[in-house]
Amino acid sequence: MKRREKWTDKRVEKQLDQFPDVKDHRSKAEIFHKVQQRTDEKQKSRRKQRFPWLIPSLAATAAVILGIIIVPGMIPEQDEINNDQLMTMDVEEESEQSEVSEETGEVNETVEEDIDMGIQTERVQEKEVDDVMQVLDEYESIFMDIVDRAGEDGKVASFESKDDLLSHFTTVMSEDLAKSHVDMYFQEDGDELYILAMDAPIWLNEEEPYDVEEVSTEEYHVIQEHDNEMFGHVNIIYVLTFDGDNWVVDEIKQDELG
Amino acid sequence: MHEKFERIYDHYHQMLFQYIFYMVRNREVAEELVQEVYIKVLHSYDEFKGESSEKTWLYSIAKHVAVDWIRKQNRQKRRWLGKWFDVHERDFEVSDSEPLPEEIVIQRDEMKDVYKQLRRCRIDQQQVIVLRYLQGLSINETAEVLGWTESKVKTTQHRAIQKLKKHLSDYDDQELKEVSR
Repeated sequence: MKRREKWTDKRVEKQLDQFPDVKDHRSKAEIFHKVQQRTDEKQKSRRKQRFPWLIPSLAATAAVILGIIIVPGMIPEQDEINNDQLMTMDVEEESEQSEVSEETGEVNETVEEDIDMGIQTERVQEKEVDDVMQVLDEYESIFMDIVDRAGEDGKVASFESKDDLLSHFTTVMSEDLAKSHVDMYFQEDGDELYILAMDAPIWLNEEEPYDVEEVSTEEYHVIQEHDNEMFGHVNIIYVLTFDGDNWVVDEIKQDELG
Repeated sequence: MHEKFERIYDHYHQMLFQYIFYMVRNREVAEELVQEVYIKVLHSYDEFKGESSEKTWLYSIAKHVAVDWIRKQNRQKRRWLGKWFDVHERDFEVSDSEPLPEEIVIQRDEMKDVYKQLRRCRIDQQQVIVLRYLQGLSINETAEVLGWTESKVKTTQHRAIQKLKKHLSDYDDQELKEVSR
């Protein structure tokens, strides 16, 4: 017979505390080998893209140096610039040599450092946007979770009224958006809540292209073009705002594209 | 590179592996992803400024790797178009057919249920539960890993437990109904 002990916070927490330790059974050497392999692969594929970039930059450096040789004395703060130039000239000479033979040593390193810095800033921005974008994912999952768990007749499993659901939705949506979703997709019938069988809202499809616009530090727009029978050819704009505590989906707009 | 790897491995490997495992719920995937964490860590070690502890910095990288993977999965599962009752059926199938890892299979039913229902919580709720209860991180450490305030950690943790409790009770009710049918 099935247990019927009630689930309390304590009982849940006690189980969580006792979850088993899970270990990686592979050896240290094996893991290191794999990591090294992957790192090499990544570097190789990145290096291929790096070289076209090097040539124009060398040309540009050469042009600047030429300019300085032709018009000396026209540039203020000579000392500083001269130093810079000397350095770039060194690098250039070396790199010309190395281009003839094999790319080795210092030149390679300077170039790689430059690129690494670029990648790092890119990553920081990516991370911020990523955090904001997470709310779109939560928006989809909070809604689909209810759909997943509804009975075949559309009966909602864990919410009994629209108000119940509304307060649940407002954790990831603005009050207005939550209300419009509850009103559009759900129906109260006595003590039960039912989903109406219709098409779900348009979610962002992360596998298709979309644009992210930073309107302010507290507002982002995520825009994706859709073209299908149901909605026609439209831009869907997800307005994401920061409510002081969390990011929420504030509003979803449609722009007809004809 | 080898030295750095060795040091991080000795201090943190099993901890990071376990964290990723409980987030993605699959050993093979966790093995792949933990390698991904090393690649990122070794590549950007100079970025680490010691503002947070090394431990929470490593966790935050692991978090990104794991969450990226989970999102990609969700996308693939729910590629949208069509009526949602199709989606409903498909998703249901996927979540129920997912086999339990052997570590969990051998546990008592009660724990298995908690493990299964944990998956129904939102990702941020799962994060907090895994970090706080399974990894034993403090509120402060959890806040650093997730980039949240301590109060957000506390409220999310509270909500997560409530959510989990509700899922567990609903699940019990459902089973009871099925038995009496």
